[in-house]
Amino acid sequence: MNGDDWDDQLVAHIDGELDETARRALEARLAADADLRARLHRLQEGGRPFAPAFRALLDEAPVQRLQANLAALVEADAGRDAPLRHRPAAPTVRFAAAIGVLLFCLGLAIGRYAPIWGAPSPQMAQPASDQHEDWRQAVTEYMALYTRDTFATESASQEKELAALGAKLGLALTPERVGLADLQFKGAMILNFQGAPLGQLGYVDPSSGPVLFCIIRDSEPDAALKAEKRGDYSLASWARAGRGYMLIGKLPADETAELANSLEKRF
Amino acid sequence: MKAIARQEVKLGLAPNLARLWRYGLVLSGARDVADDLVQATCLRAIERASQFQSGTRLDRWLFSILRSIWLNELRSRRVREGGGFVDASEALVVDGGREIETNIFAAQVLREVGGLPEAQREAVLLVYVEGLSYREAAEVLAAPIGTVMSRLAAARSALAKLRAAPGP
Repeated sequence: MNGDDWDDQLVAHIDGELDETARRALEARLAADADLRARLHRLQEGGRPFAPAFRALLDEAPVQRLQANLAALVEADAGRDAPLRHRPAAPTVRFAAAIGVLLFCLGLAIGRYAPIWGAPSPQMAQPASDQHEDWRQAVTEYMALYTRDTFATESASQEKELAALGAKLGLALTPERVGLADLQFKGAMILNFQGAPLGQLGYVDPSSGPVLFCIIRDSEPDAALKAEKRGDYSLASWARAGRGYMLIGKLPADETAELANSLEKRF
Repeated sequence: MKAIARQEVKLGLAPNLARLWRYGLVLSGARDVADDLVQATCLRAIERASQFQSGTRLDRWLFSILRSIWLNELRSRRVREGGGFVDASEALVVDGGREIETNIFAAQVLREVGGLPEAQREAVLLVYVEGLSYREAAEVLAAPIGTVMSRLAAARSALAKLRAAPGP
């Protein structure tokens, strides 16, 4: 065995990777060989607290951006899968969308708190306004997973769903209160965004497809109705009495604004 | 089964993004390349999700993918484009503004490891930071266990010399 081979054995010994036989052989040799003991000592000197030092690099990772990119890939993949289905099984599609939501929210939570085991960073706390922006961004991202098929089957118990969701949000929700002119109401889902109950009301617009009306109870400060465009989607949002509201769809911006205006009068 | 593996991969990517990025940074020494590596790894993992064996460690599988993309695609492209390499000893150092007192030692460790050759940096990351066994690291590297051992030995020798003769 030459010197480098001994170094390999010694490092494996330091790292506890030698099996019993090799360990005993090495220890016997170490007892008799001062040079080898010196080599061992030198290799031990080459140790560092590697793991704690490298935690700092996890903080440096642009997790939110990576997460958004991943959500786009998952979305594209879901789109590729869809035509392969033999039948447009709505519950499966709905389940896939729910997984997408879960995945995305999980990612955001990890982005917010990463690294889980890392040292506390002074930059962790985000301004409240960002948090309120985050849920809207999250909805916008997962909205891309929805198709007309997502809502192909009308929920049989819309009134019950609305009542259950209303209880979570502290609002009295009825089909009349959430009805929207030409759009067909399809059902309500209870979601959760970073601990805040997030309600999602799904509609289908005959010309543009899925439209979502979302309500979150997260003590947002009041904000007036504003309209904006994000990618293919037009959004309208406002906040009142500790709840944030948002309407999103691929409708023309003025139609979204008009629908949001009518909802805003009711909430 | 394929559908389950696909779902497992899709759901498992998000919690591993920061660690993949760190691996990409240790390999490439450049943040933008680390970004690209993570993106390409996610894409490849989703495409090949049916090859993932449910019940095995997803992070190890993702590391192998990232590594293979780095070796086969990004590294050569980077050299070809004349981009060269950022000095990894600089790239691994966290932002100066964040070097609060308790982190000075951490920054020094990153600088020292950053000064090692790529193969040694990688072995240090996988075994001493990510906590892989020699066997697991050898699988990620697609190399014999002896290779892992000799890279770690070389890394420790180099780092020991730094301690013996501290730089300016």
